[in-house]
Amino acid sequence: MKCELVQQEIPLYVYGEMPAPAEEIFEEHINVCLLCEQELKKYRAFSDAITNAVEVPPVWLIAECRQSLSHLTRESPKRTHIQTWKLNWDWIFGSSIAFKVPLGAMALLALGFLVARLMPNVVPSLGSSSDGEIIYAGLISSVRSVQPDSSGHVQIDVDETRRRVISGNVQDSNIQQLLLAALRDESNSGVRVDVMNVLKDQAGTANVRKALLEAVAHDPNPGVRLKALEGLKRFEADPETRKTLSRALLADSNPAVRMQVIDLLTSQKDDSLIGMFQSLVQKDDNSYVVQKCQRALQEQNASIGTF
Amino acid sequence: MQNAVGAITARLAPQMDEAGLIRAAQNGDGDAFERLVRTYDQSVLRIAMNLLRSPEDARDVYQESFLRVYRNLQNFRFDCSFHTWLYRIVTNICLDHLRKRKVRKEESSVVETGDGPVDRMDQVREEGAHSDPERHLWNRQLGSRISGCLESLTPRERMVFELRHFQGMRLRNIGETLGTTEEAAKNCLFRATQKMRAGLGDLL
Repeated sequence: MKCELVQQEIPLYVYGEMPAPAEEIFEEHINVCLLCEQELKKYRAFSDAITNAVEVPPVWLIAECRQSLSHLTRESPKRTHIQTWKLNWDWIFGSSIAFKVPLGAMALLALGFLVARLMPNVVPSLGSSSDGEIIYAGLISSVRSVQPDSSGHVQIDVDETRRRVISGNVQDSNIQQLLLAALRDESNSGVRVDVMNVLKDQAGTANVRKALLEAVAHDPNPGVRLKALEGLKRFEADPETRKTLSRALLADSNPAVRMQVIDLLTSQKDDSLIGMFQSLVQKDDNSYVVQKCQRALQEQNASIGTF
Repeated sequence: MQNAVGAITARLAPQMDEAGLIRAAQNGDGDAFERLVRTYDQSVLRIAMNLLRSPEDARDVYQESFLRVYRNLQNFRFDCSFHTWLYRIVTNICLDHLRKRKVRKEESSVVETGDGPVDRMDQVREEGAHSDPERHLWNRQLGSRISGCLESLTPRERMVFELRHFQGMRLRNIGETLGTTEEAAKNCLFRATQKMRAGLGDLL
């Protein structure tokens, strides 16, 4: 085998794509030719460097993509046959552009629905690979190919998924994106409360404040909504915040949330709220909320009843 | 060893029933579709990120690919593996993106800013690299150079290199996925590695 041909075939050898007889001839040549051996080493160095520079999708990006896709696919009602799904999709996505814009916005609002719960807590060890790295069963997501050789060894090409611990400053934008994604995971209110506990002190950031407002308006868990309200305390004068708080006062089903909203809204004088408080005095079914409204009206020298 | 075998068998059991998942998804089972997505989506995102070197484009490829799967799953007839079918969709979408870029000149992941050149991919890289500043710096330099080298490849060369080097696919499967022969895929790989090595020569 000539050096030129051997060097040309190096990638095939490194990638294990060479047929067994050709591989034997290749190795025989490498064993006696210093120049080709050097070339092989250089190729391996190149290959390793490229491998080390591989772009691994960050957890938050995977979470965002999953959530967004999940939302899009769940938009259409579940039917028993895929054909009806297709019809629904054609209807949704084939309609006018005016309809696509709010649809896209809804998808963005719901980002982070599926925070990557990649792996179980404890993963059993399977042993170790040829380079001594411990292999865990829980990290293997799929086996791509299996290549046995005559000596009894087998080469298994696997994909791995890993649970990762990501740490960083809460003000770091990447960390915040991950937290915001977790906040939109409707399946785990405990995590959302924890996240809210962290984010409530970061309401100075526009994205975070927006998430707090969304949580007040839409989060199904009152504990999360209460934490979000804590975070909005410094922004009770912000018109957008007050608008959301006013809506929550009229619509929230939880009296504790409604009471905290009243505290926030009444931290500054606002005559435009008088009508709303008077209405709540008449209609709210919770006596504590009614009392708070009455007190707020008294403090503003407004009459409690409507005439 | 027995435990190890048991563990991997248990872990891989759901993979064995992929055909069942596909059939369930074809009949409208949303959870089955989601499990299919989760089996492959990290690989899909990784391909897109490595090929396009842009998190925004990678996200687009992800959505477009799985929506296309979602809409066309009822047409999947098990003539090939689901993996091959999915990757055919993904690679076609990636190739479209790459060709569009070629038409409107290559968009580099490295952009000029007031603070000097910045690789947009740095914004999405994991914390792990940051824990070792030296390695992080080396990876940044290498990453920028690799981006530059990838630009010198044709979309098809880039795709073959990605699928062989990073995804570990056999050349035969790559040929099948890209609708070409194993020989053509091999030649693409040769050209890609030559160009890459020439571009990175002084760094390695």
